[in-house]
Amino acid sequence: MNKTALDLSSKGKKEIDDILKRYPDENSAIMPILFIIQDEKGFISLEDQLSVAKFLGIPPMKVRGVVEFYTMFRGEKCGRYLIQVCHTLSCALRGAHTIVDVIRKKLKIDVGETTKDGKFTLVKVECLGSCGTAPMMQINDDYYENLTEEKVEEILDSLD
Amino acid sequence: MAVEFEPVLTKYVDDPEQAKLSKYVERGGYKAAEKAVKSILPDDLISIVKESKLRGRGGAGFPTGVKWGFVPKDSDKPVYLTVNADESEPGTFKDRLLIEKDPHQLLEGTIIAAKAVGCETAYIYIRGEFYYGTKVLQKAIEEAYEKNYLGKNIFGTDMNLEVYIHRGAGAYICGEETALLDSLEGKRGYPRMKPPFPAVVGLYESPTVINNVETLCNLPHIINRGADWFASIGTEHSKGPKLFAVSGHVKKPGVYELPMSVRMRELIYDVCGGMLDENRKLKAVIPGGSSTPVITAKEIDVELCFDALQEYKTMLGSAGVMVMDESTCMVDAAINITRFYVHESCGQCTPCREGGKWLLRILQTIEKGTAKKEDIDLLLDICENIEGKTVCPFGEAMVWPIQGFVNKFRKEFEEHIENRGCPIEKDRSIRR
Amino acid sequence: MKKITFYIDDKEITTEEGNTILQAARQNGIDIPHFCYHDALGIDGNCRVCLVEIEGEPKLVTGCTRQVAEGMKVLANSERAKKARAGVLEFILLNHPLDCPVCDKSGECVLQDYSYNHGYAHSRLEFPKEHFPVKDLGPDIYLWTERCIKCTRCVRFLDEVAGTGELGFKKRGVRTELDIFDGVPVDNPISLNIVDICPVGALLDKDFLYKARVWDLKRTESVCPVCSTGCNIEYWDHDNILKRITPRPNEKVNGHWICNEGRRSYKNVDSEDRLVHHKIKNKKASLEEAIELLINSVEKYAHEEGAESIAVLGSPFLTNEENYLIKHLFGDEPGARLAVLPARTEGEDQEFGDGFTIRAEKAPNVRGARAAMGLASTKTDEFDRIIEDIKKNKVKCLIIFNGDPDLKLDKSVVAAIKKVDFLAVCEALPSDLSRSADAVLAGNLPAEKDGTFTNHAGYTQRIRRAVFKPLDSEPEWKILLQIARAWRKDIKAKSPAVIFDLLAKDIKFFKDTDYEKIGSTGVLNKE
Repeated sequence: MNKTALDLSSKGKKEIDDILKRYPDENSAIMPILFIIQDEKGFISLEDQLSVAKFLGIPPMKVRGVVEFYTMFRGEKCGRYLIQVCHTLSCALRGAHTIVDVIRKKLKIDVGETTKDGKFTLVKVECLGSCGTAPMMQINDDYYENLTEEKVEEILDSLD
Repeated sequence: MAVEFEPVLTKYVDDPEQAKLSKYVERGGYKAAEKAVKSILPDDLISIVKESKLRGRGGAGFPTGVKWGFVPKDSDKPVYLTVNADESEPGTFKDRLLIEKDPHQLLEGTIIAAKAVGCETAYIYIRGEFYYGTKVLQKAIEEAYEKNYLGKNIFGTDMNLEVYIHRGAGAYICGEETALLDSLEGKRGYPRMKPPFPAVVGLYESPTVINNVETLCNLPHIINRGADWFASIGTEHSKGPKLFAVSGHVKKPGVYELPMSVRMRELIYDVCGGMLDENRKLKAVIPGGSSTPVITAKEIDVELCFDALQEYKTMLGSAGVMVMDESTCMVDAAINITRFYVHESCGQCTPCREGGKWLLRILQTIEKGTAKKEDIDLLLDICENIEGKTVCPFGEAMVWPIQGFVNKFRKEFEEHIENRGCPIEKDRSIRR
Repeated sequence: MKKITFYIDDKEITTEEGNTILQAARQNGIDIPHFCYHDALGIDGNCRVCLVEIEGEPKLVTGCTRQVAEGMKVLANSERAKKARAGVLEFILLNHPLDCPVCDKSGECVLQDYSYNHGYAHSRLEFPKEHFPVKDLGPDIYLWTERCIKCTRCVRFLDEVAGTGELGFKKRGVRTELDIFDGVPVDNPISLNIVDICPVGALLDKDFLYKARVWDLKRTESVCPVCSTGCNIEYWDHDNILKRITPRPNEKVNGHWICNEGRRSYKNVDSEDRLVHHKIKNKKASLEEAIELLINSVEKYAHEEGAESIAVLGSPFLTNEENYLIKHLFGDEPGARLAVLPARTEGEDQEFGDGFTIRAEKAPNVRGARAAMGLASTKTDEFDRIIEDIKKNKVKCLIIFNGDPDLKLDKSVVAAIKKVDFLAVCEALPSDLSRSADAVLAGNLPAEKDGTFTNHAGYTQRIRRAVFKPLDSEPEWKILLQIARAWRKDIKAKSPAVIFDLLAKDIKFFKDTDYEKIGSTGVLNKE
């Protein structure tokens, strides 16, 4: 393990020291470490993946494999606000696609795209465990439930 | 009537104070954990839970006490407990309620389970999207450590219990218990061959018990009120209170706590206020999360328990009830669910990895109206080539919905092909 | 080990407890189709091709994961098993490109064979396949990603045996993609083994790409001539031109592997620098002329200066038979001094995950050469003493049978050797020595002769002639037999097999061994 390999704030590094204590095998810390890097930098670049590999003393492809397997880890930058609209069955039954269309029209981007000012990225995601309050979306870490077309407009307007 | 049921697990979920340790204790919380830790032997705890006939609430319904009993007593390795909070089955949102509104109930159940199997380190694997729930749980854990309900020498005994949160990062397959273990170990979430079973060779090659959130939340009540009380609720093989998460075309979607003797008709019409749009008739219901085969409007007198549903060629699963009215095209529904499984397939084994997208494509041509008559039987043949042939039950989870829709609504599939398009009058497409 | 008796399709099989159905089947010559299982890499259970039915069980099981039980009745060819197998093969072929006409693996492709024998004749897929790019994985290997069936053999090899882990998967589900990390290529001393173990034509050896169709190649079992591990190999040639080397499994010697250097060792056979003519004083001569000069010189020095003035060097790159003939012809009588050319040592022995070792001692027959020359196994300074005596002008007639294709002697040693009165050198590729030799005999490389090598642990293994010698050159054993004839020394042997029998009678180390006993896997000889 190479303790100096990570390019992070001292707060982040301290957090990682605490995290390592939780597991008898330090490889388990990969996922929490990737979250910390992503929270600090917005995404996990190839350089950061390489430094995580050096930090843990494992082949870089093992880190890459984890980043690419899990949908919440981003290998590339995205908008400041990542709008994730659920479109699995229960939300679809309650109008998820209308919500997607409202957002597309308002922000003038298609699914998978980012607004020119880098503010919003729109994606469709699978079930977020909020089927009883469908349709709904997650923006960054926050859930917005029981959406209507009006509410969506309000929410997007309120984000600076 | 079955629908009038005094809630046990969700008694205090409407009180925001319930998440605070002081309130939880005031209402009698952590007494069961204290009793279990201080004065009940592990083997006796296992017996009590076996007697209660508590079955896992994650979807498989395996008897919890029996699962605990598989942990070898003579292992020189530490025993781990992982709490499966990776709730990702479409239609299911009941664990989230328990985590966000009554986190101490979960922690108390974790302590009892840890005592029963001799565990000193427990990991709560919570899906990454449940950010709010993670924060609530973190706070609750801190409070519990402060009061020495967790940590070293809990309740003043020689038992230690560390509880850590480990966030998932967006992979439904990590709700499968062995994929969860691989993910916890820092790898891609690939399910493992069984045998060996996790109770013998699990996390870090040590004996490991994986329990669902709702399962663990039942434990304090079983200890407090007794196995007999628990077994008095429900049907012969499906005991104890059950959380049903209802969504779709109903007036009052949400989580409802009921015994498993409740019938689907009662759940939809009496509890959930009936159809969302009164002018539209009920057409189909998925009883237990997206991987369970659909039942028709004619079959809703079935009791929502592990056994009765099997007679309708479906299962209770995670009790995620998804209600569809007549504006829903069944092929659309099949496409939506199949798209979910294709997205979530881990890709480890051949049939699921390669067959899933093939199924999706065929369904899409049926919907568009460009399929051939033989394609329906092709669908079923592909499903047969996947079912039972995969490393983990994801293969079955992927094909059972398709088989369910085709078997119960075959005519609709055939009409799509004959009419070269969808015969349903629908105002929204749900498949995209 | 407790034995279990069970049945596969009514055939009774007895095997050790703990073996899986697949392992027991393979041990008994029954091939239940499989991809991801490998004897050296263990069980992964992901391809699902080995599904079999067990009588009395509702669900099919993978033969690779299920341990045998007493009396178990495995139905590997029931209707259910056959349908499941065909179904899985159909899934594998679903996104697998129809590349057979342009794929190197064609003819030795397990997927081809299984599809032909167990799969469906046509595809039911009417949609576009998944597409992925072709990749350059590093110095030696290409990856045709579309052909990959994700059996994970290569990943497991690089993780567990090579210990380098360069390969892994990106994405998941049907978009699972084998790849390296940007800027971290597959680059380790044993990397090319992943090309062998890849069941399809996804991982390809850059050196062999598009060179030949495997059904046009002749295969010859032999032993690698690079280091004293003595990996069992096969030479593959097309019309006498070597195209590649692949390893042969031998549990006792090399497991399933060979290192990259050994794999490439065939390239010098077709080198333009090969000595193809015998020479006297740098002029082309016949073998008879060269031999006559050699014999006359030896006799002259034996007569005028005594046998101690003659030294004959054998080589750890020549076979036991050849080194023995050297001893017999020159050592026994007239009693010339004998030594074995030293083998180079490069660094340290490199041991890998499962015990496979690349040895630092870079010659294939150190032990055998010493034993066959009748030299004690422990003392190793005969060569040094001869060189000393050359410098002191005590050794005047020097005959070197150099098998080393890349001889690197110390400068002072070379300078000393060049000063002897009479120098005869027999080698296949020119070294510093043959340029200044009085007589040069054009010899052969191990791919061009039959014989035996003895590895570091004492395993004596056969090498076999894969290709014919170039032009006038001859295998050293033939040259030595011809020297014997010209010298009127009667050796009752015309082939390496019979020379070995003589050797085995004479040298204690090789007692009770013969070619039949050696077979394909070798015999352990001890002091």
